[in-house]
Amino acid sequence: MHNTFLRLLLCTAAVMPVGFASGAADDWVAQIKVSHGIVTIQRDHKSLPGELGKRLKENDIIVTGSNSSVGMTFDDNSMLSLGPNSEVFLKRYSYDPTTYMGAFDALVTRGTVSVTTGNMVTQSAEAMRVMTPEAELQAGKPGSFAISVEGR
Amino acid sequence: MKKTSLFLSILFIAGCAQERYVLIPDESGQSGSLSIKPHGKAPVTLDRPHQLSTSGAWGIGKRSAEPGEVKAIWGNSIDAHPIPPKKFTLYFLEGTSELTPESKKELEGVFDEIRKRKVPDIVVIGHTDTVGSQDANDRLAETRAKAMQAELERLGIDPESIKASGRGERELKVQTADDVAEPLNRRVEIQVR
Repeated sequence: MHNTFLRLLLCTAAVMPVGFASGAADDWVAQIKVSHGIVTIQRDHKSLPGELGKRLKENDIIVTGSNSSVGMTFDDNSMLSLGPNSEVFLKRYSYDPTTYMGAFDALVTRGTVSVTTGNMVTQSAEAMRVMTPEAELQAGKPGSFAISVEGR
Repeated sequence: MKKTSLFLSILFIAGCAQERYVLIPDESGQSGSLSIKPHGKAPVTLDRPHQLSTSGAWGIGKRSAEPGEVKAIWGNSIDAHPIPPKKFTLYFLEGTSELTPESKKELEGVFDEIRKRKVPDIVVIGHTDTVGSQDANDRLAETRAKAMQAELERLGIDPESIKASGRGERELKVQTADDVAEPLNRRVEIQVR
């Protein structure tokens, strides 16, 4: 009984600092490395300019206008780039740089998007999912692929 | 007969298509694989470079992309792809945060790679071999990482874009027993992206 409590206490203590670290200081998951034309980040119901060097968070929506494009690199070295009139929702992103374990769910709602997988797919093929209105995609092996969603 | 109808159905699907998926080969011409699970329809796996699949109301097909087709559809998004991250490993003299002469020369290559990028971010991780206590090695690994950070800053890299940390003897490149001097373990990994 006493033992269980002690263990619980130890576990809580061990988990706490990790929780704080990922919550507060550094919850950026990606950075914009290429940006052309009109690129917008929708975050917490606000629209922010998607300019060069801008950091991205989980739950951001990235939107490009006509004649516009944007490319970003994630913490695990995954890369995502959008052609014109495209929209992607970063639904989930978690990554442990020590174990390379993580989860990446992106939702492509319209336009053209190309994807290069990163460390987390190298570690575990199931780590990354890309959802479209009609399908769910999963990279079985590391590499690059591209998607287009038209008529939306 | 079967082939003809498959061919016709692919043509038909392409005409009404709303979504397309394609595998892009890397510089060496190799590609990964992609499994596609359309809602309520049979899944398809792409596993050859430039293999393309089109989804529509009538199901999903699989074929090789026509020459120029990938560029026509995805050219803009592919052109916006970031420069791939690049990783360097530099080595130190035993017990110090001074680079070996060979690694000193390689530093220029790191700098070139940083200069190629408009908004670089750099991750520096220091490591040690197993000579000495774990605490001492944690400090040495951090000192090595900070020394590299200082070197990059001196070369004019924005300090904001550099993250440096040490991992001591926790992540050996070459597995050894404790207290073994191993040059390949005395290193920093510098990732430029």
